Amino acid sequence: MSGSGPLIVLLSFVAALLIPGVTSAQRVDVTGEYAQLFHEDQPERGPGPEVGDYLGLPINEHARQRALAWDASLLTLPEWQCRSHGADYIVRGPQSVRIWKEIAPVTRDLISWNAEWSRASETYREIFMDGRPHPPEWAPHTWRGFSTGRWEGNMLVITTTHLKESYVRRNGIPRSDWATLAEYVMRRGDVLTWVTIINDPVYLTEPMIRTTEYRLATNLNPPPFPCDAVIEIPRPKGAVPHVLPGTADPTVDFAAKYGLPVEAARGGAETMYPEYRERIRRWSASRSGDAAPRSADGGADERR
Amino acid sequence: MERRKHSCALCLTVTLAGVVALPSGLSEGPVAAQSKPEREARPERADDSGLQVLPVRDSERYGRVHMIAGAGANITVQTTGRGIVLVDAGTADMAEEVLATLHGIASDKVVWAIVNTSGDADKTGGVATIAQAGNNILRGVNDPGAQVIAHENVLSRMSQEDAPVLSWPTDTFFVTMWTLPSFYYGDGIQINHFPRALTNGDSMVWFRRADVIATGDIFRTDTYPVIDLAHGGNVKGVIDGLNWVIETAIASQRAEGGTLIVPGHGRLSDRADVVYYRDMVTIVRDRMKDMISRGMTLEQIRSAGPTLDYDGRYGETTGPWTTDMFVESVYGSLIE
Repeated sequence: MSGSGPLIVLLSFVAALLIPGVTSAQRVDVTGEYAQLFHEDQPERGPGPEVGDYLGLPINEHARQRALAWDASLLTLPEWQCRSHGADYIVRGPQSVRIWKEIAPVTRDLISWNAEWSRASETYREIFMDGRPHPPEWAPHTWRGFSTGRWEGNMLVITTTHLKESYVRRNGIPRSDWATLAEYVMRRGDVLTWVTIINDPVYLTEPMIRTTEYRLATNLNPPPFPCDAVIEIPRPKGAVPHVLPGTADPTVDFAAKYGLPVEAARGGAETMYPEYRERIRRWSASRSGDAAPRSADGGADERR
Repeated sequence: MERRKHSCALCLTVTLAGVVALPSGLSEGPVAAQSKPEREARPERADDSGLQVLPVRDSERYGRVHMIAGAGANITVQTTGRGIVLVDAGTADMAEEVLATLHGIASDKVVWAIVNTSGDADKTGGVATIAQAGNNILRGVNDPGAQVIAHENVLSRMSQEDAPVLSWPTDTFFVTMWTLPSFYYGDGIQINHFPRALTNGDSMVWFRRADVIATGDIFRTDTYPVIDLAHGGNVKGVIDGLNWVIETAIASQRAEGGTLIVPGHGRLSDRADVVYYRDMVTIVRDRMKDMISRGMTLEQIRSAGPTLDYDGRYGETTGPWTTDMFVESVYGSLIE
């Protein structure tokens, strides 16, 4: 490197500050249309998760019970049709995203970053950058929630409250309406990395963290998705499909299918971490030559 | 970062914290907090910060409707012409503050009518003070004392319980649906009575032009339904009431928005919020019905945890309405 390198960098920085319209607050422009990259969790995001697969989720006993009672037929109820994914889930969903800026017409200040996924919400997400406060607790909750943003270096940091209930996995694992969402959006060239961190005091014992990547694709145009609910299955008035306790346990089937201990399929924070692999190895070793599945700590699995 | 390969027996979800270095902004705050988070204060409970006013509707087309939170129970406020129609009145000790808040919403108007959704003190306690400050539009705008409208069972209960006479309903109805005309009340107002819900006197109030339903406590977002068996309550009536809201309300788009729902307690809601609550009450009812059919006693049912999946959201172990009390009320409803 020549000795003039640092000077050129410094002059470039000063010049950037002098260009009209360039502010120190906005470091990166995330505007554009982006396609999802499916190198992570494709089976879950495409065809959908398997019933009874709670592995790797930091859920508590309340969430597990809720999921065990979940019946996919619930989604056929007219009042359950047409629903949007929650703001936390749609980032991970199978949809492309369009991001654009809302600029104040007079001051030219940045009001919000807007993000629209197909099938995502009643309308696009607004990430307010103008310093407005979050609404009072008594205000309505929506599936997109209420979001404010700020820049941390080159990273857009988003805080979302006022979420409606949704799910962290589309097989009945709930996310409550008391949850809050922290997001970190980073753009590196054509790649957009979107980190979501769900804090849910009702159903999660630890923050639920996901990263999702997109690639710039300017030929994309998220299509409209009109939806009108219909009667898919005639039912008695007020019927709500669900599984009664003790009548079925899909975690047993899932565990058997993949040769896992049932307790792994039932999830929990410990199943997120790399060291849990060692427990499964010990479990696998303990059952060699033994047809009866055992729990991951080597004991007999009474749920079987 | 979630990584999983279903073809592998060792497939695991691995957290971001476990596999990559975090950006500086991530290493602090939520990601670093890997221990179990402390349960936050229940966000749906009123605190001591005073009343809060939320605009529900405010347009030429739909009229003006507000929700006052923090008065003991939610109060729905419809303003029209020179008058105000309230649904519920909060507790007695909050009445003066409610009057001041109403003045802030519409300083040129007085209360013409209060519709009570039940005879509970958190709905009727403020009636005496607020009604006395109003006028009865049907007797002339200068006739003191606002109308107080409720199902006749509310009057029966309040008179039997020696509630202050000035808080009793002045106008009662005994049918399942009663209407107030828009000429006097600014909106076509439909009052639906649910004979056996939380009590025998519960009503919901539907402002038809504003497209707002005030549900009373049949729908609330802060706890399980407070079913009062001694006053004629039954879980079936609660579910019937919730299903009526779901049938009546129309979402705007993608099952969200549209008709707005003012619950008896908790946050302003829409149809989808009622669906979540209806699902919960129905599922708990179905489970307990199944348990009873298998010969389980109340204690055995309690031990089985029929509400476990909802206790983190709606349950309480102390206070005026605990999870055990809710389970007992559902049990009592089902063995009648």
